[in-house]
Amino acid sequence: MKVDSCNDDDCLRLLEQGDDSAFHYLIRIYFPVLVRYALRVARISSAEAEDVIEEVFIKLWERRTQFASFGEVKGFLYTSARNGCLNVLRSRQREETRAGSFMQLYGDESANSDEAEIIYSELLVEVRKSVDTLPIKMREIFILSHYKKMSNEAIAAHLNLSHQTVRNQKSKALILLRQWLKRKNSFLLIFFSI
Amino acid sequence: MTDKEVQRSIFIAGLIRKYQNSSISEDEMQLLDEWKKSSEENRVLFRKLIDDETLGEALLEMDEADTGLHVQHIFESAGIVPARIKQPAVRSLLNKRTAQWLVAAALTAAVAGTAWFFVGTAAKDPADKPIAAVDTILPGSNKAVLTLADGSQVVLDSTIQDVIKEQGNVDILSKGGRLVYDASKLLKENRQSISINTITTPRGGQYQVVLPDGTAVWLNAASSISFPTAFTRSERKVTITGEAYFEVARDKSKPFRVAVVSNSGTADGMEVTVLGTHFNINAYPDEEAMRTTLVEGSVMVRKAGVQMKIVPGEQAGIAVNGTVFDKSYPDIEEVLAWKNGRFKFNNADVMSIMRQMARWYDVEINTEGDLSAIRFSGGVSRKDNIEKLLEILESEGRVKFIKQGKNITVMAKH
Repeated sequence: MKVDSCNDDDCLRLLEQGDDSAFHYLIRIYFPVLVRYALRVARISSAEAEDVIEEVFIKLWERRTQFASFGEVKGFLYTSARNGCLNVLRSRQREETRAGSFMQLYGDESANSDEAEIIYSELLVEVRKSVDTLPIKMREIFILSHYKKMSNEAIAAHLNLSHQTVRNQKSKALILLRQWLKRKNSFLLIFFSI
Repeated sequence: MTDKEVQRSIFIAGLIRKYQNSSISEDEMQLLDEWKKSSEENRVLFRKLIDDETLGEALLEMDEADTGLHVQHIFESAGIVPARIKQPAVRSLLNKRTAQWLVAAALTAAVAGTAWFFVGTAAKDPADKPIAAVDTILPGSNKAVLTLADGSQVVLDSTIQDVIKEQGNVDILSKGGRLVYDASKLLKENRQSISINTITTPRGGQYQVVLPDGTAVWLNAASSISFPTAFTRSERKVTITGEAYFEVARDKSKPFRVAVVSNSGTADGMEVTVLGTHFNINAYPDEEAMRTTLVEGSVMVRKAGVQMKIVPGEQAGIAVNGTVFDKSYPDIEEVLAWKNGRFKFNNADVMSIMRQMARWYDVEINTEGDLSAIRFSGGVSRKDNIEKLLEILESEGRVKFIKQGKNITVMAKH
């Protein structure tokens, strides 16, 4: 079967059953969020952060039958991400003889408290889930427009679509996202509609 | 941070999400208020999250493009073979990197999502395709192989759409039978990472590429082009084999040079120097001559010390082993028909027609009898089956075709 989206309980159940598409769904929603989280928890490179998060998911798959709730899965993701980052720092510290290197244990200076970073991450996950629910073509247009900052003209040329189709798809995407997020006058949607 | 603290953070996030979509209960609202009141930091954080701007910015920080590759790494390490994916048959022939791309593309296509630039047109499971009846000869299609500097290869067709990240920030986008190089993000300090890429079309394949300077190149079947991922030198130099049509982007400070290799490996081929122009080069090893046909602008054709300048409408031909250029005025439409998806013949001899058939339909041609005096005029679409063309040619009563699998024998009728 193919999982396009699932609520937390379904996701946990499918994961337990060894459904790889539910696992794929979790990775595509959470991976970039967890990489961002890792970079804010510890001062490591993007490549190191990506390796850490890959390991987190491999461990998650190994332990997929051991969670009582999806909350525990989330907890596992953040805790393992954090521990993985600290391990990177520890092994680096062993290599460095300089006394001051302990400073590197601290992450991005602009980072908030641990609690705030997890809250941020969880809300980012919700937005990603909503974008993920858009039909493929619409999502592609949406991503090109909002993540890649391409103009309607450029998107139309790129996807070989008419200018009008691009505009229609963009406004439909916003309506769908608004329904999903059930928010009115949200800045997030204004941000998306630029 | 303890597990309990992590769980509490997740719980608070859930409350904020409910607050945002107005599904929060009174009890939950009270818990959220308590959390807000407990510290100044929480109050500020709450205001920021409700304001959303910070979330929007955070979304932009995240890199979408590579998620497909991570999925593949994770699946591989965890020993997961996705139920819906069949490994592409070519996998064993390719190196690991290419295989990774293929699997990543297939994974993403199958479960729709993740690496956003894979989405759109999914790579179809080969099993979904109707099985072609034995002996059916299909027309060519958009397909080619991209060979990177390290020797790794990527199979290109019109369905996979992908941003391939090269070192040095040169983005390569493949879509609808066209590969686009974008060197706009190339930083000066990254110039040492420029490498040579090669696109090769098989028999029965064609492909388009937009080079990093904006020059568009159409590659006909059984052809290739090699070029740097960014043109940073004083001239833009590419090497081709087979047949290619160029629309060279204007840049007077950097002449564009095409080295034409006629036979495999020999570097003593022809060279075409241009500033900004449209032209076609036909230099298949099985054709008697290498022909450069100019559509717009002006070019200088050079080989073994001799050179010739041609103007639009002119064709410079030179025998593979020749030393003299021959100027002619061909039917431009006929010369460029392949690029426009057609076969067009204007009093063309049957063997030159059959050589074109062989390259596009990937068939072998044998001959019986003397065909040298037989010529045809006419045209068909390159999307038509080969039978249609053979029928048209037979209908004139001068030749007969015998088709056995991929072998076609042409016989003169008396």
